[in-house]
Amino acid sequence: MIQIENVSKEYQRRGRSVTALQPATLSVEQGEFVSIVGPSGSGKTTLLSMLGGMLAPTSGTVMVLGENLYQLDVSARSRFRNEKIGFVFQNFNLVPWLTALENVQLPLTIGRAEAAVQRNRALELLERFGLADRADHKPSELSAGQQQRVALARTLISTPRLILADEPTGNLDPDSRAMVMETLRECQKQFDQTVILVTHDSSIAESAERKLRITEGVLTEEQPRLNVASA
Amino acid sequence: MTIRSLVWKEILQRPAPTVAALLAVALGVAALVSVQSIATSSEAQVARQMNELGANLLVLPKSADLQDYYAADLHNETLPEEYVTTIILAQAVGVEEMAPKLCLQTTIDEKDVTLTGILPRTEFFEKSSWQSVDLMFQEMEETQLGSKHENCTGRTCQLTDADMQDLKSYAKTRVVHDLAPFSILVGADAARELNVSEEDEVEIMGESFKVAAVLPASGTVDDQRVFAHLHTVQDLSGMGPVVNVIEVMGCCEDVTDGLVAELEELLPDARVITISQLVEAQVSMNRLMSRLSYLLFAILMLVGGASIASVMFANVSERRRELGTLLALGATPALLQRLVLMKASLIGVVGGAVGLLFGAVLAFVCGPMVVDVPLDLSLQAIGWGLISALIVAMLFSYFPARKAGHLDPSVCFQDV
Ligand SMILES: Nc1ncnc2c1ncn2[C@@H]1O[C@H](COP(=O)(O)OP(=O)(O)O)[C@@H](O)[C@H]1O
Ligand SMILES: [Mg+2]
Repeated sequence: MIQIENVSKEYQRRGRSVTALQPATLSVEQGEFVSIVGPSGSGKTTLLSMLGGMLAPTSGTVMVLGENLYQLDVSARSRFRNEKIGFVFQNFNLVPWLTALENVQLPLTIGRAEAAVQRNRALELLERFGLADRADHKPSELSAGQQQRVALARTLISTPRLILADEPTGNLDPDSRAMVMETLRECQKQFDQTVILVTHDSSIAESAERKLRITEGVLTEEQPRLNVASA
Repeated sequence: MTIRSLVWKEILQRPAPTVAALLAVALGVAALVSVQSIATSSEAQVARQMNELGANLLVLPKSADLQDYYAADLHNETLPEEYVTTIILAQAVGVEEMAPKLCLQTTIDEKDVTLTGILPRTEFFEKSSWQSVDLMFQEMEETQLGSKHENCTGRTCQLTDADMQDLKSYAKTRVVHDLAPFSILVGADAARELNVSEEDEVEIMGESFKVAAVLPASGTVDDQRVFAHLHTVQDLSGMGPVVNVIEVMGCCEDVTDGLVAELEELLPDARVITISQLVEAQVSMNRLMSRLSYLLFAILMLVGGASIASVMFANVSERRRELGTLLALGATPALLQRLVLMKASLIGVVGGAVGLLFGAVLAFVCGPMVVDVPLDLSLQAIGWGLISALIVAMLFSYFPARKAGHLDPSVCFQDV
């Protein structure tokens, strides 16, 4: 599913370069549930962005589903992301001027699916998340937990093979947190979707079958099962 | 949803900046369309006057000032009526008709009207004090007033007596064959205003007049006037045998120059003016107006463009997170650029349309103050306005669109 090889990232800021990720090699199989932990500023988001085709690495190759992501041109990479990868964010990133229903439809709107398909799929998902009666509400009219459920519905509408979640429970109450984790588990168990989850919550991290740690840009595997190397 | 509805919904959530940018463009288009429409309508009026009256001359008092052919008699200076006879006797080459006029401001049914005295053609001869030349006049009446020149191409030459005997033809020919002392001809607008029709009796300055005819609309100030016999108007005004103007209708433009020289020599106290002299000021004013409107348009479009650019830059900046999210969801940078450009084109098209509408209203409201003709919108200005509005909107959104296309998608991972 995922093979990264010697992937590193350096940011250039005002003439100085900051190494956010040391060269890392990692592979993940389809249907795995992987957690990534590490202190703030250690490079977790940087790694996740590169896995999602959002950030070109300074060196190394990123293969997802057999595609060398950064050899695709920008629009092919966008299309790949639209079809195969779903993000879940800490801040939900719902579009404030769209209703819950419209937010959920967005990936299909971008992929130019038929209007009826967009609508029916979105309604189905909102129902699954118990938000059918909130379909016409704007994000500002929803609680944090409800907003994250809308965001999850949006992520799942295109049935991505890979779900990348960056501290998805960071801003949530315990009930919503449990709901989000349950959903991600379901994605893995029921739909064989690969989940990579960045978290601060150690109990959540422990529940994953694979746990990676990043410290100051160095990626290590906590309970080594597959080969993870860092140079 | 479609991409288009995304653009639309985004505008609707906070329409004020978009509307402001749109109005800036609309203003430019409105200025162009209104001023150009007035200028071209005025040009059309000038062209029509040149075409219809190109061979005509006006004989005016030296001190009379003058802007419009049709209103040439609206001043208080006078000439002796005798000048008509002087011109007849001179038998100038190309003179076909003459129309001496005297205007009197008065009221009918308490409504202000301009009563214009006109001299029927027959009177040139009957009332003439030069009885001794009767024979000559009779001969002239059968042919033309002046002598004809060779190869004349004039239009008035083709006027038949029957044409002139129909009172209604005055609106077109500006000459009547016969008019009884207490008959009046009423212009189309004046008839509507006064609510009179043929055969009605009206009272003017204590005298009773019969409406001999209501003239068809001519599109000139004549439509607002009431015409009566020159001598009747002279009597009513108490000014004696004078006129404000003598229109001399030449047979064709070939004779105009010679005629001006001849009349100036004949009547040294009068001013002789040709149509082209008369419209010269109007023509240069039209040119100036037209040029200024393009300048104004260019300036307003630059201002509009700058305001679009600033609105768009601000819009892209404040939507960074949202646009980054769209990238994460699989939108291509090109799609984000298109979102910006679609919004810009909407501003351009709607701004152009609003400007067009606004300009048209402005032209129809302000136009009549400048020109006396029915106003036509300048299609060229409309075309230019709409196309430039779109181009300016797109052009000035190019950099904001580029900015959207080069957005760093990692903004959506940052916590607020
Ligand atoms: N766009 C950027 N420009 C410059 N430096 C960055 C940028 N994004 C992240 N960094 C730096 O890279 C390092 C890793 O950041 P990040 O991946 O966001 O860490 P984490 O998600 O683990 O908190 C940090 O030192 C951060 O300051
Ligand atoms: Mg982070």
